[in-house]
Amino acid sequence: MAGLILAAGCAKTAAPPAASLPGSEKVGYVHMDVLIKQHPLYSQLAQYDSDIAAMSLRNADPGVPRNAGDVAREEGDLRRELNDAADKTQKFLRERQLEYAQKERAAIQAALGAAPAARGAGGGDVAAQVNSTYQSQAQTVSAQAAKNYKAYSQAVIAEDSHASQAIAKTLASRADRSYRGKVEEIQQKEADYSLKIATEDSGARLELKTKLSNLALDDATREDTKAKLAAIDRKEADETAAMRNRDQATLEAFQAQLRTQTQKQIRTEIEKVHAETAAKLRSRQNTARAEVDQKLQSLAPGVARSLTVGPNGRATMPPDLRAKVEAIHKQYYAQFQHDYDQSLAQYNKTRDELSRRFAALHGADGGAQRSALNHIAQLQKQRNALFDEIVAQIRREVRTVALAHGVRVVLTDIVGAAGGVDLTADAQKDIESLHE
Amino acid sequence: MSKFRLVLAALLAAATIFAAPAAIAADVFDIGYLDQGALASIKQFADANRQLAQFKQSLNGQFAADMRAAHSAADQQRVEAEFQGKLAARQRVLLAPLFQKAQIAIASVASSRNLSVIVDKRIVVYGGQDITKNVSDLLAGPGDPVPPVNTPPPSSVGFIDQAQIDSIPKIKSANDDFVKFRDDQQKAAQDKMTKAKTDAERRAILADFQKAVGDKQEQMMKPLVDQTKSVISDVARKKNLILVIDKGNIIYGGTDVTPDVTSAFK
Repeated sequence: MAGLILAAGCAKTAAPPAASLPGSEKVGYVHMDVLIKQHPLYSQLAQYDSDIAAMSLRNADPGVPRNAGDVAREEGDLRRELNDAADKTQKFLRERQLEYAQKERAAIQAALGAAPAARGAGGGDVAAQVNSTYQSQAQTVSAQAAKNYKAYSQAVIAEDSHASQAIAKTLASRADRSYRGKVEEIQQKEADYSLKIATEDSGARLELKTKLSNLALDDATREDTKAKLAAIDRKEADETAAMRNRDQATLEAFQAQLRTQTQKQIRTEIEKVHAETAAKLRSRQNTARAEVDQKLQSLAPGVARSLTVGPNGRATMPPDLRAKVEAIHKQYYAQFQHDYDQSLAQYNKTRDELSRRFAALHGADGGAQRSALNHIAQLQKQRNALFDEIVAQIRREVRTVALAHGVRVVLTDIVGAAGGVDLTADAQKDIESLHE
Repeated sequence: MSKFRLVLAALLAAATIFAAPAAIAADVFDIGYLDQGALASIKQFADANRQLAQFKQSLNGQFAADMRAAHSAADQQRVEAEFQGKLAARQRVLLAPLFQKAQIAIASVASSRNLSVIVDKRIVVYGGQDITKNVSDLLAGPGDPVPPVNTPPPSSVGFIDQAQIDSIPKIKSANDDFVKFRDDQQKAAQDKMTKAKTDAERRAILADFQKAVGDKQEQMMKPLVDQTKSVISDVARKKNLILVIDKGNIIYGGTDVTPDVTSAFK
C-alpha cells in the first residue's frame, strides 16, 4: 500500500501551483515514476524489468533451496533419513538373527528328541546344552563381526558422502563459470552491436538534427524530419531487441545443455564413487563373512564332538544325527545370509537414492539455480545503472524547469500535497524533447 | 563625526531589526538533506559494520552445524531465532550509540543552519541544503556533538508513517487479500512456466500474470489509495503543510500527520 501511494503520486500533473500557503511556490515536486516513463531509454528499462521478472518467476521454484539455512536443513533431513535407514536395517537383521537362532535351536531339539540313540543316558540334554553353548558363542562371534562391519561401513559411507559433495560442488562451479563466461561473451557482443548500429546511423541522425535546429523550417518538414529521426530510433531499438531475444534463446539453450551435461557428469562421477564404496563394502563383507565362517567352523568340531562324544568319552550321537544337526545349522545360517544380503541391497538402494538427492542439493540443480540467480543479479545491475542514468538526466531537466519557475527546492516521492508547484508536466515536455 | 556615527548606528540597528526575524526563524521553505550512504562510510560506522560482518561470519559455521544437528522443524526455528537474536544484540551494542551520536550531530547542524526539516538526499531532485559534510565533520571530530538547545521549529513539510496507515483494518484487510491473490497467481504462473517450452510461451505467461495482478490491484487497491491521498491532502491543508512525505525519508524535524490521517479513517 505504501509503495502504491508513492507510485500513484498525489495528483494529476499540472504546472500551475496549487499554493495554499504563502510562499509555497518556492517548493516544487515531481512524480519521478511519470517522468521515467517518458524518457527515451524507458523501453530498455522496461525490457530489463520484464526479463528479470520472467527469470525470477521461472526460478522461484519452491522445491529448490534458497539459502544456506535451507540447504543445511535439507542436508540434515537427508542425513537423518540415511541414519534411520541404517538403524532399521540393523534392527531387522538383529531380529532375524534371533528368530533363526530360536528356530534352529528348536529344530535341533526336535531332531535330537526324535533320534533313538540320543534318548538314553541324558543324551538329548547334553546335546541341547552343548548346542546352546555353541549358539551363544556363535552369536558373540557374529555380533562382534557385525559391530566391526558397521563401524567400517559408517566410515566408508562418510567418505563416500564427502567425495560426492566435493564432486558435485566442483562440477557445478565449473558449469557456473562456463555460464558466466557465455553471458559475458553475449553481453560484449550486444554492446559491440549497439555501438556499431549507433555509429552507422550517426551521420543520418546528425544530419536530421541539424535540419531540425534550423528555425526557419516549416511545420510539415519539421514533422517529417522528426518522424525520420524516430524511425532511426525505432530501427535501432528493434534491431537491438531482436538481438537480445536471439541471445536470450541462445543463453537458455546453453543453460539447459549445461545443466543436462553437468547433471550427467555428476551422476557418472558419483556412481563411480558409489561403485568404489560398494566394492569396498563387499570386499569387507566377504572378508568378515569368511572370518566368521572360519570361527564358527572352529567352534563346530567341538560341538560335533560334544554331540557325538559325551563327558565320559563314550559316543552319544551317531554320525547321521550329527550330519542332520549340522544340516539344520547350515539351513538357518543360509536363510539368515539370504535375508542379510537382501537387507543390505535394500539399504544400498535407499542410500543411493539419498545420495542422488544429496548431489542434487549441492550439485547440478543448485548450480543451475546459482547461475540463474547470478544472471538475474547481472541484469539487475545493468538495470540499476540504466535507471541511475535516466534519473540523472531527469534531474538535470527538472533543475532547468525549477530555475525557470523560481522554485528553490524540488522533491520527489511525496505522498500528499496541499501546495507547492507540480513541475511534472513541464519536465515531461523537456524530457520528450530528448527523443528528438 | 558623532552625528555620522549616530546615523550609522541607527542604520545598523534598523538593519538588524529587519533582518532578525529571517535569521532567527527557520526558513520554512528551505529543506536540508543528508546522504546517508556517505555517512555510513565514516570510519566509526565502517568499523562497526565491519565488526558486525565479522561477528556474523563467526556465527555462520556454528549456525550451519546447529541446523544440521536440529532434529525437528521446531529445533530449526529455535536455532534460527537464536542466531537472529545474537546478531541483533551485537548490532545494538555496535551501532546504537553511533546512531544516537549521529542524530545529535544532525540536530545540531540543522539548528545552526535554521533548517526545520532534514530529508534523505534520494528524494531531493533539486535545491535544498546538503548538510552531509557538516554532520560528517562533527562525527569525525574530537568529542561528542552537543545537542541543540531548541527543538526543531515548525516545518511546512509533513510526514506519515505508512506502516501505521497500512495497519488500519480496512486497508490491512484489502492488502492481505491482494497479497494472497498475487501469491496464488504467482504459484499458478510458476507451474505453467515449468511446463512452457518456448520463449514466446514464457512471455505470454508472464504477461498474463502481470495483467491479472495489475487488474486486481486496480480493482482492490486503487479506491483505497485514492481515499488515502485525499485524506492526506486534506490534513496537510488543515495543518498548513505544503507537502507530505514518507516517514522513512525524514531524517530530522517535520510534522507528523499520521495520527490525523489514521483518525480520519475511523
